Amino acid sequence: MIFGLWRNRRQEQDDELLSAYIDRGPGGEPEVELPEHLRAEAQELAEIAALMRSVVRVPAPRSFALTPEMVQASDSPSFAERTGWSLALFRAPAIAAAAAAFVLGLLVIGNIAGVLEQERASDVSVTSATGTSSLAAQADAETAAQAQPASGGSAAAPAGAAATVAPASAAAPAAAAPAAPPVAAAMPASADAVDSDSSSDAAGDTSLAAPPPAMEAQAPVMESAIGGISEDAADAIDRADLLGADGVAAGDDAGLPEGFEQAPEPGSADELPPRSRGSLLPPDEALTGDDGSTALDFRIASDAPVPDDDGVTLPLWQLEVAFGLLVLLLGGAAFAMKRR
Amino acid sequence: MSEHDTSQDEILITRSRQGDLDAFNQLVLGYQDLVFSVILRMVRNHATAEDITQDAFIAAYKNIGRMRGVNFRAWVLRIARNATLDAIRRTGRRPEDSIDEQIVTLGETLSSGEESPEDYAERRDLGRDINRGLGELPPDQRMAVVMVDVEGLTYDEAADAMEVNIGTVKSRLNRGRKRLREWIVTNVEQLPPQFRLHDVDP
Repeated sequence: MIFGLWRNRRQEQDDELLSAYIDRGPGGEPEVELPEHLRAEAQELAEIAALMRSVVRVPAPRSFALTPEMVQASDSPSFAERTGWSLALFRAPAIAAAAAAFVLGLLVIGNIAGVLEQERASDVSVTSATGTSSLAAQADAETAAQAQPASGGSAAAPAGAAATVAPASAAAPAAAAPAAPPVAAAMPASADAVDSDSSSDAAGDTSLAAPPPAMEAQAPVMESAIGGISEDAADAIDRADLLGADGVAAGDDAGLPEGFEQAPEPGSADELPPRSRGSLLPPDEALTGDDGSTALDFRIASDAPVPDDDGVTLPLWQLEVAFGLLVLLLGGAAFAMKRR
Repeated sequence: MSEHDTSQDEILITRSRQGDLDAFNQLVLGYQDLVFSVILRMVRNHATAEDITQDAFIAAYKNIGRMRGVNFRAWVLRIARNATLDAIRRTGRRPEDSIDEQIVTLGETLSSGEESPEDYAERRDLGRDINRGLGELPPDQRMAVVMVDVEGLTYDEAADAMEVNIGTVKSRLNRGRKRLREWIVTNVEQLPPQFRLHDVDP
């Protein structure tokens, strides 16, 4: 590159020297000393210069003297000239394209640098048969992939009145499955091993993700189990909205129905072992009624994605595609206007 | 009026700045051939060249208060050059090719002394070839060749009119001459003896 620049500069110097040499003499450039290697070329170009000097001027076909009318007409600028909007109009697409390209660059750089992250959440809600409990789980694709197909990824979430399965993305097979059949979010006390890694224990297969056929066959069994829940347990489910966002009961035990006791050391969701997320607590930590029935432990953290402190979550690829198209569109418009 | 009479130009410029249209029109009449010729060789279309020439003089009248110095020739050519380049950008990269014949018949492209009909025909053909060759040059190089070689402007005037430094004028001029020579050698079968290019050993 440096050699190319040096060669270009050398060529320019030769060009300047040749012109000065050809146009030297009386009334022209002062005498210049021409290097040997340029003399032959100078001779050629001097002949062309002589040829061009023999070209005569083309006379004007008419007088271009101005009239007062011409001057007056030129003094009244058009509306566009007066307001200047036409210039702005022609430049607008170029400016907008540059701005869109800038934003696109920020998105790409942010993505590469890890400041921005792709949003991966999606919700699929299924209303339980009783319509009383809710599960507002948001799961990412990985979670969904882990939760399906055989394990019980059920969870009780604090906020709503609908049982929720969480196939998070189209990539997850569960997402393509039809909505899960009404499944109660409450399980009998014997429902053990309800974390997402648990295997397909018949009693504990409480997964709310799109169930495999085997699970669908178990649905009546599960529903019958729901029927076994006492009214108090059902009331406890109704009080899910009393729980905090992290699944911890807000306040004291006042929200619990009579006969229920708060599970010891509720703890926060963060304190729960990772495998407890999105799953039922073991029976010994569950809310237990006097009659031995068990409701879901509402302390369970939802499967909503844990906020990542490392970056901002955005629908990145959608934004990148949108801004890319915008750049192409506006750039094309600006180019077309410039051509006109 | 001679277009080189700078003292007379200075008086007319002063009066024009005071709004004297007649004084300005004397400047127009003194320089219109030069301006029109340069513009025509750039755009190669008579009607377009007339429009640009008229617009250039109107713009010159409106802006004569901003003129620095007294070299009206270089200043009006700068206005003409800018108007011409704008027109070339609007109409496309290449100049229009349909007016070679007009230039030849109207302008008698090459100067002549006493000549025979054959010489005249030969000169006319060469003039047409030169115009075509000029049309092959990039606008900047073409402007340099037209201003310096055809119209006889000095390097200083050409640099002022083209708004570049003298070194750039020399460089553009030499590159334009080279390309023009290559074009003529390639496309012109026979040059008249007085213009015949010598073969030079590399």
